[in-house]
Amino acid sequence: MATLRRSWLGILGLATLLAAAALVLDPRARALLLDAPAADEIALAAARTLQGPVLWIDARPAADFARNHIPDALPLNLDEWDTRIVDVLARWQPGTRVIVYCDDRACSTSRAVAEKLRREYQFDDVLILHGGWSAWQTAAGK
Amino acid sequence: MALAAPTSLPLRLATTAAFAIAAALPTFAALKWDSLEAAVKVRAEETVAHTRYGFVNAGDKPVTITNVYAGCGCTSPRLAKNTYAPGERGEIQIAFDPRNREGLYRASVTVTSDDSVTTTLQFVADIEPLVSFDTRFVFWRPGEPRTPKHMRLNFAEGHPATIADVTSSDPRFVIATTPLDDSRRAFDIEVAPPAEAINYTVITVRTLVGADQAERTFNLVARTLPAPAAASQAAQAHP
Repeated sequence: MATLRRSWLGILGLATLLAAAALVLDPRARALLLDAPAADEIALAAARTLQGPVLWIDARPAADFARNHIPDALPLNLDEWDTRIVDVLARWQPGTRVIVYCDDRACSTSRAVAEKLRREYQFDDVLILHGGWSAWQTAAGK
Repeated sequence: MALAAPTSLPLRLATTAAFAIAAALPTFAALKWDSLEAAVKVRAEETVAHTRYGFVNAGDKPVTITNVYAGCGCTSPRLAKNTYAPGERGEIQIAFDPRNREGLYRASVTVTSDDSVTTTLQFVADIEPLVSFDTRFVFWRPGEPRTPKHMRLNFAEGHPATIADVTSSDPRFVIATTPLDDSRRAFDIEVAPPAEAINYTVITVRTLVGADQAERTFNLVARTLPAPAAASQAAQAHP
């Protein structure tokens, strides 16, 4: 029994050391572990304090958008781009800040949508909601 | 932009350690995957790309895959059957639609089995662009002279491609398409807006690409912006 306990303690110690090393050495791991938004991301709390018009873009699949979404958000995902982009462009105005979200931190679609808006539509103020729809739901207590 | 509120570092470390321990523990998942990651290069003319994830039931009981979830509408997973006997091999085939994507694109597929194990398969596509635009959106501010504006289309080198036609959903926006060189790989699309206040037009560029002349369409938008009072109603305030 004592041997087993020592083994577990050894694993625990080793894992702690590895985690600490990853935290210190790898910037990606540090960002992941410290949960800090990347340069092109914005935390929900900060988004809520923004002044001026904000256009929320929901980059999740259409079925997920239909179930629920951030109020006033417009759907825009890469699969239905040509049909959805028109509504976005019809609402956008110069000076509007665009915030794109998808499911969660593991989801890359919001970044792909944001990059496409910057590259092909010359939108210069596009951010990604850090944590995506999951962050919104967490803040809403769901 | 504000950073998230800092949280306790020891707490983070402890949480991470817990995850690391969980990862270090022997797993009892019966399905052993050949690889959890796949990469595929998608040529410009391709409209679908395929890859597969092989696995074997390394346990001593049958395993049933209860759900395969693709996090993106672009990814269609296919499973030949759901239940696998001990020692039996299987695979999940992935069909990827690269439409509207270019460069590196990441997607994932989540597989759940009846032994309560969930596995995430990662997929990275490197998509060669076929058509690029310098912009797909032009607009005129209120009071701005309604002089024509331009969008430029470029076909990637090495792929047969041509413009079939260019049409405008509102004919009051006048469109003119001009090749920029003899190779007809680059085109200027000029948009002349009407003098009166009209919201927008959708310009559809129909192209024929590849040896089989497959049709691909791209929508561009030209818009005359409303005066600020109307604009403030259009853009929504944040929740």
